Parts: sequence; C-alpha cells; structure tokens
Amino acid sequence: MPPLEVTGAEVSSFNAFYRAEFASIAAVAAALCGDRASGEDIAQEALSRAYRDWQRISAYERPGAWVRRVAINLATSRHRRALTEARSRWRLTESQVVDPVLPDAALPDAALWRAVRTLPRRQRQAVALTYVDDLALEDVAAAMDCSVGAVKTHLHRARQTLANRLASRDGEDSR
Amino acid sequence: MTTHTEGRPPTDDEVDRRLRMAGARLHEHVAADVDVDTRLSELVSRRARRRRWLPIGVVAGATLAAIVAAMIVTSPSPVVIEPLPDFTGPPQDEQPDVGPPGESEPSEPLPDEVEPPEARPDETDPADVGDDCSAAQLDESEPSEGGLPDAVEIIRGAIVRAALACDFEGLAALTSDEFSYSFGGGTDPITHWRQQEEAGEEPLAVLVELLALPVGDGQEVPTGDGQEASPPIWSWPRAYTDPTTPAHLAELEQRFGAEAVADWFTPDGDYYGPRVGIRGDGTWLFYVAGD
Repeated sequence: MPPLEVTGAEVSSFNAFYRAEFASIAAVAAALCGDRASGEDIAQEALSRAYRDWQRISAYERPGAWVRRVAINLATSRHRRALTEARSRWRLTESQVVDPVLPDAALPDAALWRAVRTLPRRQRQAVALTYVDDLALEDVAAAMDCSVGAVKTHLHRARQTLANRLASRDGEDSR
Repeated sequence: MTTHTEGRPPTDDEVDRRLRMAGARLHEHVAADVDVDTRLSELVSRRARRRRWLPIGVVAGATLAAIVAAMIVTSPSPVVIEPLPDFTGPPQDEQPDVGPPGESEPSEPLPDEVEPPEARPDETDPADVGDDCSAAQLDESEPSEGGLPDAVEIIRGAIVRAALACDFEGLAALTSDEFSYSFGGGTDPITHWRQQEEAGEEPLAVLVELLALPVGDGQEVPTGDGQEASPPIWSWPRAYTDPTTPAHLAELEQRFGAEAVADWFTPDGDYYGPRVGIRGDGTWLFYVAGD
C-alpha cells in the first residue's frame, strides 16, 4: 500500500513546494472556473493529492506539472458539474440554459476571462497556464501532457478567437 | 480598456499583450488574498485526521471478518459470503507506477469508510472520488429512441446501471474479449477508469450520458467472402457514425457543453470524442475516445 507516513524531511520539502505553488495553481484554476474561491479549493485538493503520495511525486522531474494536470482536470470536472446542474434547472423551468459559470465580478478583467472560458477546453487550459501561471511552453506542455507544438497551436487558435470576440465586444462597448 | 484600433480585431501580438497583463493581474489578485500558511495547516491536519482513523478502520475490518468467520462455523445452513470491503487499499505491487507528465494520479490510500463525517468538510466535493464515482449523482434516463435490438438494449441498460452504481468490476464484467478502452491497448479497464476518475476526468458519467443519447444507425461490419455477416454495430453518439447535423451537435452540446464538444471534432467534421459501441448480438465492443 502507498506510504502513509511522511518523514520530517519530506514534510519540509512538501511545505516549501506548497508555499511556492499554491497561489499560482489557485490563480490558474480561478481563471478556468471564474471564481477565486473555487480556484483555491481546487488548488488545495490537487496539492492534497500530491501530499498523500509525496515521496513518489517529489521524485518526479516536474512535480509541479503533475499537480497542475490534476488541478486543470478538477477545474474541467467542476465546470461539467455546473453544466449538469444548469441543465437540471433548465428541465425544471423549461427556460433557457444560463451560463453555468457564475463569474466572480471581483476578479480583475472578469469579462476577458469569461471570454477565455468560452474557448475549447484545451485552448483555455493553455491560455491559463501560459498567461496566468507564466509558464514556459515546455512546462505548459508537460502539464497538459502534449507537445510544445500542440501548445503553440492551441494558443494561436485561442488568440484568434479571442481577437474576434474582443473586437465585437469592444465595438458594442464603444457604441 | 482597448489597446487596438477601433473597428478592427486586435492583432495576435495585441491579444498576447492583453492576456499577459490580465494574467499577471489575476495572479497578483489571488496571491494577495491567499493565506498560504493557514491553507497548508488545514491540509496537513486533514491528512493527519485521516491517518488517525486508519487503525480504527483496520480493527473494524478485522472484527467484521471475525464475526463472519464465526457465522461460518456456527451456521447450520450454507452462508453466502460477500467480499469484505478493502480497508487498506490495493497492495503496493498493484499500484500503477505512474509519473508525470500525462500519468494518472495515485489511488487514495485511505478509503472513505474509515473517515468520520466531521473530518470531511469537503465530502461532497465532486472531484473527491474515493469509492464514489462521477456517475453517482446522475439519474438513469431512458434512451432517447427505441428500436434497438433486444440484446443491445439489455447490455445498454446493464452498462448504465453498473456505471450509476460506480460498480467498476460490474462494468468490466460486461465487456467482451474484443473490448477496447484505449488505443494503447491494455486488458485492465477497471484500473484505467479508476485512474481517469481520480485524475478528475469523468469516464463513468460520460458513459451514462452517452448512452442516454440517440443511437447511430447500426453499422454493418465488412466481412470477407464466404463469411457469415456479423450483426451491425450500434454506436453512441450518432455523430460518430452518421453525417453530423446541427441536431447531433445540439444534443452533444446540451449534454457536455459546447467547449468540450468543440474538441471532439476534427477540422473536417469527423467525430473522435468519447464513443460506445455494442454489436447487435449484445457484445460490448468499445468505449474509447480520441483517434
């Protein structure tokens, strides 16, 4: 069975890792969820999963990539669940499905991140890891389990889509 | 704030700069309000509480085993023995040796049975799978259309019921020797699905949702000369086998969201998202995604 006890040295190592990574992972998850509290919860859960098997995870070349992959999957899962709930409400009310993400108006640039969340899943993950976490392309690729070329493609398509959406939104704002 | 000339879409560089600034602001915003030390203490004490409850779980398991053993000795009639819950998790040599990138995350060393309710403030967190699974919160729904051969409808219903019950072993028992769950091959769908669930993906929920969608036309399987024709294969969603229509897209988007569905089609419009196939004779052939 997996190790249950964490040695003193491992605790120190995990604590340093946690302090270095928590805010970045929470910010990435917040961008993907549209909600800071959810972002923090997701970061906590992802890091908790690392802690319970830290002896093994810490031996990886990029433990941060492992935790980020768990976090972005959890964010996707949360988004899917919100969609399911919205669908249930729709069945009950027979009204239109509302945006399942309840955006946190207090988030800076909330409208921009709302536009990011309408991108396809892999594109929005690449955007969050690149621009919020400020990771190098190699690290984004490791977290997304894909090639650097694929990350570049996701980012390029994301920026193209966002350019058009921002243009129409800015046009509406200026009218 | 707009950073581009009004009336034309911003350039790639302009969007890049805008995202970079917004990303930095968001990161700063989150980091400024996070009390990392408090969060870390919460995590460590939560794990410590779980560890404290392990011996109780082990003792409870041993006690239960002793009671069952006593029943076997004293019972005048045959006793059907259900397998005992696994209080300690799989042995180390059954743990997949995973690592980043792209590997799944480790299984929970302490199952939920030994967890006191008050020690789990996040018990309802959908991502915290434990012995539960993503399909547990779904309702069984009737297939959208009838007309399936009986053998297919029977296995479809059995798959849905097993998935809703998070019965991984039951699901695996419904597969056939020809069953495919990964293009990388493999003969252990249970571990594969469990790893996906623990990594925050939702294979069992997606399976249930797919099988509630309209089925595609039964596809005849090409056979060589002189061979008896095989029963057709019935596939979900119908976008996999039928020409994609707006209605097909809409039913997928309503179930899974437009963002996810956009990833499931090639630029040429071919569907390669998650899909299920059952042969007309009731043989469950595949539940795969990707190409």
